[in-house]
Amino acid sequence: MADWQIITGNTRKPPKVVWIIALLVAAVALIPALYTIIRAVDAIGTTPLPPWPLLRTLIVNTILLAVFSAALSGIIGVTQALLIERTNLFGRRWWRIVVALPLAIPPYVLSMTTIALMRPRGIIERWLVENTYATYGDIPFNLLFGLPGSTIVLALCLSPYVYLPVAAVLRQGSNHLSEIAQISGASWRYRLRHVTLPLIIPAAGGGMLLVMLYALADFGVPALLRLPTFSTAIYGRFTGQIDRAGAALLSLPLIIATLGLIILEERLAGRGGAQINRSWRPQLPHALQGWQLPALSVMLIISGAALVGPVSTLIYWSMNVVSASELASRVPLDRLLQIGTGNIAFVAFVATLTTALAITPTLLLRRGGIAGTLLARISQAGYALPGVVVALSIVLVINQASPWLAGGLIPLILAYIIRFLPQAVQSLDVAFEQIAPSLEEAGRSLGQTANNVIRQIVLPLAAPGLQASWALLFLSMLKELPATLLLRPAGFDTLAVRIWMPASDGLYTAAAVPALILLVGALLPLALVLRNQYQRPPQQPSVEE
Amino acid sequence: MSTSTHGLHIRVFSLLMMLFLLNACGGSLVSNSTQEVTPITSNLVIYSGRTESFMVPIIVAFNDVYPDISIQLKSGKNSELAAAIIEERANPQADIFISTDMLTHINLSNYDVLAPAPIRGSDSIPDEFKPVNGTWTSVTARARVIMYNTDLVSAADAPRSMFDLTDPKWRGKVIFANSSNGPFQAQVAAMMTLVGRERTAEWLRDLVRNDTTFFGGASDLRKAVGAGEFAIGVLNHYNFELQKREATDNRVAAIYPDQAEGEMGVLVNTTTIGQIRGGPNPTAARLFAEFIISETAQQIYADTNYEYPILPTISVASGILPPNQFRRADVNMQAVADDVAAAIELMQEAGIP
Repeated sequence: MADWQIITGNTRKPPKVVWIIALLVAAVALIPALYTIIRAVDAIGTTPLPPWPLLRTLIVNTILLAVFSAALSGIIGVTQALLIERTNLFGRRWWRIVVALPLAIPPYVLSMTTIALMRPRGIIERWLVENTYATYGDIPFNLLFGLPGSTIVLALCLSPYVYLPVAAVLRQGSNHLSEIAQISGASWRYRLRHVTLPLIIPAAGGGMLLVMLYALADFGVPALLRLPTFSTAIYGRFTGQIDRAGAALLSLPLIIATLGLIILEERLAGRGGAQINRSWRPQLPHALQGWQLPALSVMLIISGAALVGPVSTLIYWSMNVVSASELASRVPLDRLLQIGTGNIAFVAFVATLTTALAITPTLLLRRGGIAGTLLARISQAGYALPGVVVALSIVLVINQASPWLAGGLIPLILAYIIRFLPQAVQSLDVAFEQIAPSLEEAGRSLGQTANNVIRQIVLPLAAPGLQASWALLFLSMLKELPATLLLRPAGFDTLAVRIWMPASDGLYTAAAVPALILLVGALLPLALVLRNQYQRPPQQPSVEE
Repeated sequence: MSTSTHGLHIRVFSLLMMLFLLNACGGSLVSNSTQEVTPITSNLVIYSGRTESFMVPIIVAFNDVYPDISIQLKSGKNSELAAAIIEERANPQADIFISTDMLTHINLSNYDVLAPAPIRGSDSIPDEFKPVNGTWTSVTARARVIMYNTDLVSAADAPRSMFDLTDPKWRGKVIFANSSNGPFQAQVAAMMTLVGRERTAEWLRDLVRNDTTFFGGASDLRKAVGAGEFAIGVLNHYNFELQKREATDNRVAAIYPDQAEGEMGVLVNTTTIGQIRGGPNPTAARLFAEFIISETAQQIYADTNYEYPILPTISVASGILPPNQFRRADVNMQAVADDVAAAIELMQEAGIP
């Protein structure tokens, strides 16, 4: 790749207008982050930090949650990918879709249904006590709350972040080595360890880092499962007192930790990846034989916990009214559908806007030299800001610079853009990278302007990638909770808010219908993501020639 | 995409909801049906620190009288919304602010964002529940009680004082709301006056040392005690009344604590309402504020939510311990408002999440 940059650096140089727009985008992304850091540094000394024991709890919980959920989702995602792509697992074609579906389930929804089922004296323990010899307390259901429950819930929801890239590598990657090893008499164990695993480790590592970033930032799961983390503590400071300084101060360690992970991700992203060549063909699956049943059981248990459990619980709740207070907090279906359509339209609009804004920084990422890379990286500053902190920083900046914007929709739109721009830049970068530089050079050498090359060659060729990126943004924005909760104007309800309001109050049945509507709304973008994942032709136009 | 297209048109709340209300309110709504419908068309933006389920019945009843006032409700935490009101002061978005804690309104009024308009009908509210400058008024009162699960704690064994909760025999069995909860903050602020800062700080530290759980909101808390996940919870009395009336997990009892000689007595706080200065719909705001302290609304709060009505003329629901049957803590809540920041600091120093 580096060689290409040198040879083609001039012809692929983006036009000025790209630079100007990218500069504006970077400013929008950077200023809130920067200002929050300034306010936090300001607050040092004047605002008391939490006492060390609480701070230590926050640090330990936040780190352990990130590490454990990454590890567990790594195990789940890699197992699923290996079974689906490399064995004759029964129903592979279906599993490919099923294991990606948890992407549509917001982790706070899975928390809610898991709490109802698994809490002490919850549905499962009651059933056991009534129908078996078990008594209350025999099984430590109280383990659900805190780290174990939060880890499992996050890992189940986020495992597609590992599964999807690993499965892509396994499907597209060259398997000559594996076949040569097989012909040379290597056992499947040997091949797994020395051929397959090295192939998938970069993809799995990248996915696990994404899970870590998500877990660091997540608010809904630890808030419902009673695990004090930095996100919940910042939310507590944000909502529990009028002064914002405490919240800003607490954001600082979280920003630093997230930055560290992003740098790590940068390092990892450079390595490995799928090697695509023209002699690609599907690999013969490994016969599971007697292991068919155990393998199938593992798949069923994971998907049962991540999909069947929550969805059937939601459906059951939707059809059964439990108590008067739950009834009172229910919003009627027609109103929910109205909120749902409004929500989907809003998210579609902001996702489109964000995708459009992501184009210029992405173009500069590999085409704009050091300055371009820098600018593109700056526009990803929102990555270091969990939703709670994005909301806080926008409030701080608007309060300082333009109080007239407070209370409308603009702060919320800004929050979505800042929060998800990095995700858009990343997936667009993947799409742009697959376009052969030779095509752009050909365009330039035939006398086209840089502008025209981008419009007539780069963007059309990247269209499927743009679409997939848009769909991922749509999914993330539909599920977004903390920033929406804190920044929504009065009367602007999203499905996530309609779920959270009763759920945070323990009125789970009232949250069931909006949760189901959200799941249905998430299916369409998910279908787009999956189509991009599975139908992308494994053979690219001859890139390497 | 303007805010109005997404307005929470509460009046489309389902027939089911209405039936529930009619059922729950007994005769009160029936007598209302003769009341005239008032033709005023307006929006009304309410920021509410109260849980939605406690606001919806009032909004529905209000819309019975003013069907063309379209209400947009933003629910959140008291301080979160108070901070938002301060931040939006250049361009006020809200007309009304309702909180679950008197002290939030007192502190907010210091920022000069509340309209000093005495609400018609507030004359009959006792002076201790409203300020001299008329920027807010109390709506309902609630007592801070100790609720316990009768399967897990016997009546004889039940804690009689807030200070009993630090006893090692309750280690890991007690649940409180967390430090961002307004009523809990107010409790700590009042205790600082009643028993002194040092003793309050020590109490908080002992609670933490005793593995007390500090978590979430009142509804979740009462359910956790009702289900037996925790033996004891500290909450407002109506949460106990609601839990007692649940179809399941209803084996709970409540102690109105600290009644013995020399003890501090029961803490009473109020939910409050205030009109935002420069809000976009002042007429509708005034009408809503008048409505919420009207006998109709007070009766709804008394009958469906078991709170103490702020109007002396409305009686408490049957089965609720009347206000004259327990000794209240001798503290002027309006005077402790300045201590809220110190109370939060104390809770944070003790390590309460």
